[in-house]
Amino acid sequence: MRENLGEFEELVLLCVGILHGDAYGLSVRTELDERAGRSVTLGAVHATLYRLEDKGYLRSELGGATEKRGGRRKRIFALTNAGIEALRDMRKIREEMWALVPRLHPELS
Amino acid sequence: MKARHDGDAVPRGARALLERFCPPNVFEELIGDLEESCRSRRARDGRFRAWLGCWADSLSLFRAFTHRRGAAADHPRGFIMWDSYLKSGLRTSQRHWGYVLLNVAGLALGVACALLILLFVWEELRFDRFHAESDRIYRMVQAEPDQWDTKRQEEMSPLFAQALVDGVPEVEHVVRFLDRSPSLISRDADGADLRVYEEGFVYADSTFFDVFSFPLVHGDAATALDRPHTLVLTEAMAHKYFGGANPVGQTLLVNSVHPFEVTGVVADPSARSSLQFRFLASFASLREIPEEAGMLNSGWGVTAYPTYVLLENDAAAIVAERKIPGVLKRSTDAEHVLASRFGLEPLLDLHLYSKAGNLLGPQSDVRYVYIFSVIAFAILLIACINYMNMATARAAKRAREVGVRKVLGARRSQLARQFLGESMMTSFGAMVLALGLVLLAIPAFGRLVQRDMQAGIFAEPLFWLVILMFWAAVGLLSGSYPALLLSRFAPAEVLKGRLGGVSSGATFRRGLVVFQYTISVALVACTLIVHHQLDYMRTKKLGLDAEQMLVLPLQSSVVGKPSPVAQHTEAFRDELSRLDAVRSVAFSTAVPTQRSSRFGTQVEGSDETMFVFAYNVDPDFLSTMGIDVVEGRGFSIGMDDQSAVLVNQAAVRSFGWIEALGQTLPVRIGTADRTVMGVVRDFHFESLHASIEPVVFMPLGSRLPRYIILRLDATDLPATLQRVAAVWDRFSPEHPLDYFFLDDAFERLYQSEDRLAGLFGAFTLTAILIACLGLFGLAAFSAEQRTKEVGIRKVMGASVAHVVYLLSRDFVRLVGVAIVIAVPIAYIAMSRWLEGFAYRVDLSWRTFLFAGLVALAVALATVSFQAARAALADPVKALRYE
Repeated sequence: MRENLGEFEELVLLCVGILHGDAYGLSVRTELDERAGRSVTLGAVHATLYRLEDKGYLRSELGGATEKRGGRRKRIFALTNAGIEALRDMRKIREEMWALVPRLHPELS
Repeated sequence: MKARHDGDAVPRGARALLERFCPPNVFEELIGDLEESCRSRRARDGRFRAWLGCWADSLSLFRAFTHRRGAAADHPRGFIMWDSYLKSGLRTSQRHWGYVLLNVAGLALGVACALLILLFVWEELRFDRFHAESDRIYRMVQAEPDQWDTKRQEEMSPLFAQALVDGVPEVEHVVRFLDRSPSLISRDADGADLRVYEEGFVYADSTFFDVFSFPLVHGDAATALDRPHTLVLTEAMAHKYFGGANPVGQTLLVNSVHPFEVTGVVADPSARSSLQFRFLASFASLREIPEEAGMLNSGWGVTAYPTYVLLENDAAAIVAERKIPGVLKRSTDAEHVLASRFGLEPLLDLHLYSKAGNLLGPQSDVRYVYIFSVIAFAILLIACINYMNMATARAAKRAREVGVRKVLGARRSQLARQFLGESMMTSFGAMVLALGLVLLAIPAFGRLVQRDMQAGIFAEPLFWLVILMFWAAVGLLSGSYPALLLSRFAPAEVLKGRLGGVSSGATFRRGLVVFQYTISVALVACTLIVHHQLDYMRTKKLGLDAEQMLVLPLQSSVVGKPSPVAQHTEAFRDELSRLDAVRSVAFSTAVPTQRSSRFGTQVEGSDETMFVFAYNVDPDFLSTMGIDVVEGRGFSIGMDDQSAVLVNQAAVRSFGWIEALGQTLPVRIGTADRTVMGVVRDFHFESLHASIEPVVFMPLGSRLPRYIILRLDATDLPATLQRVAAVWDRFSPEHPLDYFFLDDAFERLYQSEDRLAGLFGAFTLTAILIACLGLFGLAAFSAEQRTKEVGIRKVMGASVAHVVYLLSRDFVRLVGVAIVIAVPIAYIAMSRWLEGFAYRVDLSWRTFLFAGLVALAVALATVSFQAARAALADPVKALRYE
């Protein structure tokens, strides 16, 4: 069955979605840092990306269209349908639960 | 857009690390990201912060790629493959079961040998450790100062004990011993008529149980040896004389005269004890036995009592030792006592290191421990080398398998793991087999080394740890080379049938063969030389004729009342002479191979003390023993001058005389001055380890002899013995006849060399066997490899002989190299060993040649069998061989 999505993993998935076509290790890390204020090591990001790919939420391919990096290709990640599903599910669960907390209720906050 | 080669942003060390450890498929993307990141750090932060951050990023990447799966068809967990390896391993084994058997057998043999030797070494190293205070027990030794490093003695004066206790506070207890083996033991008069001359009859001080840990089964350790005329039996002796009953309170008669009360039963001393005994009699008894009391009271000059001390702690030895000269000075003026050097040797060093010998039990030498350890290692090495050789040789056969596996995606590490796994499996099988072999062989091995070996070691956890290490070492060692080699094959080449590029390891294999045979040749040479020396020692002219010499020790001139035989020597001699088979009879107080008294004297004008051996003999002694008189005359019957003496040639040399006859002896023996009336040819009275020492012969006079010596006819010795015994019984019905043959006694001196020779022989055989197994396998393999070549040659007209020659040539050359290397090694080793003998054989080139030829012959036989088989095969089939 589908495995649980960790909080960090969710953030990474979102970043990949945001970066749409330009998501690779370094760019995801920068995005995380800027948007979520999370400062992480490069290795942690890569590890998570690989893990998410193993879980089937991301797919990847090697090689950028242009050779900008002094000849080094990079691995670009993209969301799979399963990944999108997972994100949607998470959001749905969260919203349902938020609605049940009185102090967080959108209408009353 | 510029392509900037800014790899310099990444610190060199980090880059190197990543290159080394990162799998190639992920490397590119990771290093790319890293470079980019470092560049932007450089731009953004200061140099140091950038450097720090970059390193942090680099190290974090390790986490990333260890999780990353590799190329296609990868398994996330390695051990999934093990069962596949197991299957393919077993199938491979089944196909080549002959080779596998050879391999396992060779390994098992090697491991079994090594284990047996280690068993022996372990036993040797654990001597005397069972005493609770073993590290505080020391033995006193003495020697002439210039002989301190070569020859010491353990026999001390009895007065030392008290002097030490009084004068040296570091000494807690002292135990003195006196060995009176054999003594005649008889069960007291209630009809049971067990009368036996027993060995292991030792007198010991009452402090014996305070110092040594020999547990008592019956009786009280605190008092068992207090009173005179008491003794303690070992369990074996208690059983022998009293059956199963508790013998405490019963009496045994010693030498037919002295009743001793049994005050305890002690457990039999372990085989690992330097102190061996069967009867422990109380030292206090000696005061009540007239002849012994005399010796006890004769002061510092008499040395006969091994003395052990218990120190208050093990560091006190040096302090105690230094106090000894002071103690002596306060106790005596005797010059030759004060001139000797005294010391304390730890009990734990006794068995392997002491130069003082051991009157009370066995002794060995640490050199043997080293030698045997080296041999064990060598044999193990040979066995492992075999495996390595066989596995790599067969690599070519498996090259295709390797190629296929690689194409299917096996990584080098996986292949290596597979082959290592196979070798671990083989070595496991070999270990099991080896353990079985060891269990079976322990009794026979025990006989070979003349030691009571037990399988007790199997209970030690340390042993199993060693076995585990063995298994790991053997498996890894043997499997390492094949694993490394095989995984290197390039699949494309291999599948095409070529091992191209990578050498199939032939050079290494050749090197291994040379190594194996070097060891074998060296061992053969050493064995031959050891045997040669032993033979030499046995057959060397001793200077006397030891054949058919029957010696009858007369015990009672020392303890108890004099033997009736000793009192009626002339009548006894007449009776014996009447027997046809008795050629001559003589009496003396000493006999070669048995310890005899020594007298010491100060050499005039120097500090040295000189010792001479003293023999009191009757006029027939020299002729009976076959010893020549080279100058002057021997003793004759009814001689006037009872103070005349004979000396041997060694004595003449020591005293520095040019003309010996008429000289006065510088050594004081008794009251009168002694003049020399004759010189006798040197003869050996100790083992050939020692050079011949000075001996003085004095007339027996009215002294009671201690030995009767008979020269017998060679015919029908058992019958003669019976007749002698009959005569004896007429004179001495109470004491049964005790006797030994002189040549047997000489033989016994060489027990440890005998044992060494036996061991060497056995292990040489094993080493050669293993080396041959290896060669056999290699030769078979090589022959198979060249099947096509052989077929073609035969078709072209080569004779069988020529083919055999071609196939064997290579191997014979290797053995030749091995011989060249082995000879100097063996030469050096044997020279060192022979230095321990004052009389030794020469190392002749013939021996080494012979050893080399033996190795060559064996190798040839092994190889040519395979070669012949290949040569005789049908060439048609050979050519079709794929």
